[in-house]
Amino acid sequence: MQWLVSGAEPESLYAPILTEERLRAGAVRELVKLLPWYKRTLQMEPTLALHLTSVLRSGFERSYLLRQLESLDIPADVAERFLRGLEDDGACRFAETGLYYNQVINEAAFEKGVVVQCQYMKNRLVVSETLARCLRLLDGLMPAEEYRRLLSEHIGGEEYARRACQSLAKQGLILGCDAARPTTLDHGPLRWNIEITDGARLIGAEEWELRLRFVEESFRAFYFQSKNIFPAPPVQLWGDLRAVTESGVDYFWQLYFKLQKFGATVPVNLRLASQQPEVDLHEFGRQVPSLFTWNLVADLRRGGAQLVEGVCEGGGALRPGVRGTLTLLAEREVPARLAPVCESAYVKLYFTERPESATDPGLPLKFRRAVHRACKPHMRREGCGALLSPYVDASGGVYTCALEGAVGLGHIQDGARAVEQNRQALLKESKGACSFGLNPCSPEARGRGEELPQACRDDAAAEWTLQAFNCP
Amino acid sequence: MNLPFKLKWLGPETEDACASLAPYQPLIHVQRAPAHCEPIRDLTALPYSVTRVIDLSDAPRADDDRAPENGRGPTFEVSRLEYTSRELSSVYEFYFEVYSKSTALAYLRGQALYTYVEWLHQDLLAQRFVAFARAFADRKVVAGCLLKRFSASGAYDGEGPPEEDSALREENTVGVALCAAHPQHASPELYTSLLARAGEWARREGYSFLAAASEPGLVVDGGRENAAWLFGSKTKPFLHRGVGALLYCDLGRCSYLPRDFYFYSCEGTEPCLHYVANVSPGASRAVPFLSSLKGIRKLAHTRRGETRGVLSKAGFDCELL
Repeated sequence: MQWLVSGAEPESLYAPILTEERLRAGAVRELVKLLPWYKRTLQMEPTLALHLTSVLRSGFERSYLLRQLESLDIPADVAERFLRGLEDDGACRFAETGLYYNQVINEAAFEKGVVVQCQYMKNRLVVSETLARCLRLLDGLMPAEEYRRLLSEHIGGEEYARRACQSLAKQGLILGCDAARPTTLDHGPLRWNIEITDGARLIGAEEWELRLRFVEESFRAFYFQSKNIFPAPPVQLWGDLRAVTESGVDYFWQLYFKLQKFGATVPVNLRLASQQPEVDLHEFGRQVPSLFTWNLVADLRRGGAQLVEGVCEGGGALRPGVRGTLTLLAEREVPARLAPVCESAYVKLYFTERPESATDPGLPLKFRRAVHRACKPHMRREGCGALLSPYVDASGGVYTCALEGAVGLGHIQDGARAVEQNRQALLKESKGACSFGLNPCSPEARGRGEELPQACRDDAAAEWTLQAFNCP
Repeated sequence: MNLPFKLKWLGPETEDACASLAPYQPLIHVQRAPAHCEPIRDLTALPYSVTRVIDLSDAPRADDDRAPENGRGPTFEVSRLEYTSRELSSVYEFYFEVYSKSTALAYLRGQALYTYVEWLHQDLLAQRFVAFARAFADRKVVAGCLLKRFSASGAYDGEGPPEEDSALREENTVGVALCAAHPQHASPELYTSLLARAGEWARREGYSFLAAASEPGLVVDGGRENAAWLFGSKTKPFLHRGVGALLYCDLGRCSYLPRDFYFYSCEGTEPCLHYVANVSPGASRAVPFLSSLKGIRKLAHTRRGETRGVLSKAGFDCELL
């Protein structure tokens, strides 16, 4: 079997082959030229590149890659030519590897087979019970020879073991590598968070000018962002609920004209304080442009639970907007009395420690799912996505994310390039996670799915939405 | 046709604004209304969006997929899309040989004159289609229907959390993304047979509903891209997310507007469809549209006596304004 190895990061697993440099150099443009005439539409290059970046990653076997390229309607001969071109350029190579990695993080019985959820794949797969048993023999990362020996003993013969291994590789369930370091390559920040309150006041026009110039400079430096392709809203605002609602609606009408070019929606995260203002957030939201969606953030460690209960009991005045979310920051456990909140709002949870709650099947399903979603970085055995959602505070300081404990990246006056260099440096050192996040090299990130609460594992087959990153 | 006036909900001032504009504007659409609001004088509550579905539990069963005994008539094939190169080429073949030609030759109201293929590339790359149903005549594809993963939010809510409590979910509903027939073979029977096969496949796969794309609570232009198959099938409308907008509608003066329009009211426990028929019966889609809906109370309003005659004869309650 031939496993894809990254030229830039030969010791990393799931490293992107189509790096920023290769995309900007036109690697995918050359591929589009080989496709039929009706594929050469305006947006085909970046659209195809977006799908290829999740497929062309180190660790996958060649047959799996060719199958994925075929599913993107790239003819087999064109796919082979494309891969050969990447090899000739030194972007990657195909080779036998010494280690195998099991990327399945959850499984559940499904009809006559087993449905599995993988760390690096969007869709769930159904495999036979036999193949599922073969998968279970591969404990995370294991020497290839040892796994093949275990498989031979289990399945009864080397030939069957070879076929089982090939079948698993062809479906992308096992990856091959010589080392499993997390990749330090990415495609730039996916979103910029901007603080709009400075104490009791909102930042002014001049401060906005600096921030917008900085954000535009940052996005221009990356392939997808420079083409206005964002998997998430590219700009998100943070502020104090009292200061924002007391500012009046005119501020947001002015802001609307500055931010509308960045996307169809701009989420606004409002922090609940100890003394909540007498305000109907829905009424406020209706008077400002519909570009803004309203979310609430409550820190349960600092009396936030009472605030959130007030949200539930206040007749809906302080509920998040129609498409909004309620973000709860907790230490280890979310009080079960907050479970009704999950019925009326979409809840995102962040924990400073590994969450332990929501194991009781008697708790509402939506509540258990919210805790389940918070376990993603632990389940996926990788970092929380820090550095993909950096934050600019009221004084212009740039940090790795908007939550407590984030690492500094510089100041907007340093320029987007300098900040990006700092971000890349932190990425290479696998640092940058905040108090609620996870560094990819941490023991928790290397943990296994069995450590999950039983309730989470049972729910896994019911509902799962993988997102590219976890930071707010 | 643009709505005469659109307002944003500003609270009680909106009610006053509607009252002052009403003498000049017979139809006023108030956007982003509060989700829970008391009934407001002269304003009708509209749902956030409406999805029309064929309920597969009571849809007619398709005949067996056999070639017709006398050798005439189309044969059908429905299969799950596994995204192999052969299947993808058949999708493109259908798009260029059937769909593009049907839109170029048949003008559909509301359909853009220039249909660009970019959206098909994007949906195929994202693997949004789940199945492909085709009708063959003389070994050539004469009609096709692409089934897509369902999203209750449709085209009117780009982001936000999924609606977990909706009766329509991705697990039990599959959407009709595209349904087209070659102009030389198109007929209501062909659409009906094709959808019956697609419905049969969906039922076997465990789906409960076959859905069209969502539309808003108020539709001013009655022409839709998939009108041919929608009007030929019996569909049930599902109203999503309670109140999404409010409507001021002076029926008497709205009947002078140059187009038909309809809206779904969702006040109280019984939703209702109101159809205002303004154009002549020959040009109006009132009868096929109303005939294609079931499970909802229907009221038609018109200023034209002949239109009322046609609708009454078809069995619909029609108020003469």
